[in-house]
Amino acid sequence: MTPPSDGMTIERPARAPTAMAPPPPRVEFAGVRKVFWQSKREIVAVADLSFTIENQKFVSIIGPSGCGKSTALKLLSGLDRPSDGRVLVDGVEVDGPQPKVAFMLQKDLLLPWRTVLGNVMLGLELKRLSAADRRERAMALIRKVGLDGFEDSYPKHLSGGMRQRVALARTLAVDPEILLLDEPLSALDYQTKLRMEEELVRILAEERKTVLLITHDIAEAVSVSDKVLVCSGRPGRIKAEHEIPLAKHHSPEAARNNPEFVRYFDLLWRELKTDVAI
Amino acid sequence: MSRSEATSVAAGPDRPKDGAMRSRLERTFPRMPWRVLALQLCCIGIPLVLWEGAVRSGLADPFFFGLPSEVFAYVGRTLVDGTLLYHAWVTLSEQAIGLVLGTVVGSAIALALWWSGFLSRVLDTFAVILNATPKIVIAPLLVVWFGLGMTSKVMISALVTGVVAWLGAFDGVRRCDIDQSDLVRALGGRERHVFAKIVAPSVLPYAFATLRLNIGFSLIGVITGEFLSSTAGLGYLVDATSKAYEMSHTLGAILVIALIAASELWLLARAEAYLMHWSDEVAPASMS
Repeated sequence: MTPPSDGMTIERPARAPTAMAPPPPRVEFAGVRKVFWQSKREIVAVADLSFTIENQKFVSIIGPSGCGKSTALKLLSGLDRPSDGRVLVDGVEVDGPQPKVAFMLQKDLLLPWRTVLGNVMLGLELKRLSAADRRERAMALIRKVGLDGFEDSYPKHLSGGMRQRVALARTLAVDPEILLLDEPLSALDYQTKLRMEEELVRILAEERKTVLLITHDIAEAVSVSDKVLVCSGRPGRIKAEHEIPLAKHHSPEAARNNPEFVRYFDLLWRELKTDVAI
Repeated sequence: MSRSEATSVAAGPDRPKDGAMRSRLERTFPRMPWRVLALQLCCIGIPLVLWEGAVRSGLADPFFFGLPSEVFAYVGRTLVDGTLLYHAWVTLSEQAIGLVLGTVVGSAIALALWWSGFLSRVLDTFAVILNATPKIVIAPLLVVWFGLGMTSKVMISALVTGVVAWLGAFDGVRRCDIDQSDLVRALGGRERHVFAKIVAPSVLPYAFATLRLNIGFSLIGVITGEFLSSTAGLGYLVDATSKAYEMSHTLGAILVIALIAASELWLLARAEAYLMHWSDEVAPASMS
């Protein structure tokens, strides 16, 4: 016996056609576990890390030290592999460093024997580009981060803030779509940090980057992010996720002045402090 | 906030560091304050005058102690007629060839070992044992193998400096920044890029430090070789003239050896200051 049919509905295939499926998230961690061996002892850095980052979103991870934040960054940049689970970029599993992803750390990693220009060109030297193109692109970024006039200076003559500007220009030079920032401003003095935050957010929004920021600074996370992930102590996993609707105008200063700022700060602090050992 | 305000870097506590304007040439040839120079001249001059006076007044026997003025006269005379110059040339070339050979081979081994953590662990033990053994004990063996001529001295110099260069450069290889290497990898670089852009430049300061040591070591090696058996060279001259109690000649040869060492150190310090002008470490104190 044939099933009744109204003649109008078409039988849906088991899987939606690809044209209909939503694009995969830019970044996806699915049940990621990472184990290190330290003098024959097993250390579980992250136990079950799962989260996604949508395209062009600014997402922060906050958590106590040792919760595997930096492990997540290493896995996403392709410098390390998960022990279990999957790390995906645009739906494709990460199996090594790739041009889509670039990172910037607390250590600026400037090469002291290269000038500002030479440091910014480091990544460009690994691409098929003419010397003139490399130079032109590097100079444009040096101007963008406000260091024109310093292109021939050596790192030893730069201040901490200027060094991080060079690191930012070097990171942007290879035109990555995803930026991983591991406490990039935490070594700077407070005033410089606030100013750099402002510029960083403005430049990254202008360049339409997807950003994952790792930080322990709640105020920073609230003022720059679209979404904040709260990480538990070792072994790390995501214990809460908050959309932060304050960063709409890409200005951390405006976000901090928003009356809602304190509420989000408080919310995150209450979630975080259960894990903080003094 | 206006764009220009947001991107100006000169204001606030975050300023560029001082000294940015000091030129590379000034760093290479720093000016010596005249008071330092004057005192250094006194340190050499006064003992020489006392010595000359002691010998001339009969307080010291010229047969054992020589006479400074005679030493200088001898050095001047034999430099002009070429006899001292010949011996100096023999010693200098033995030392320099050995030093270059040892540094190149030693550093090359260290850099090559960057590619293999396994091999470097295997060889590390031998390098340390080889370094702890006084290489001079191998000198008689090398004289037997390579003869009385210059080759045996070159080999001694190369052996002594090679081991130090290897260990020094390998220290540099081991201490090179892993995060900097990872940065190059993350930017899409292969291992050869990591090697060329990070490892090799990181080794440069270590290579200079070992060269500074090796200038002295290679001179010791060469002169010991000449003491053992030779027919030419400053070591030969010191050995032969002291046995004949020709004190002025012995002292003259020693003076030339010291001059060779001093000028090599001076040249090295200039090269280091020039090539490492980007370093934020203080230039080495020696011979500045």
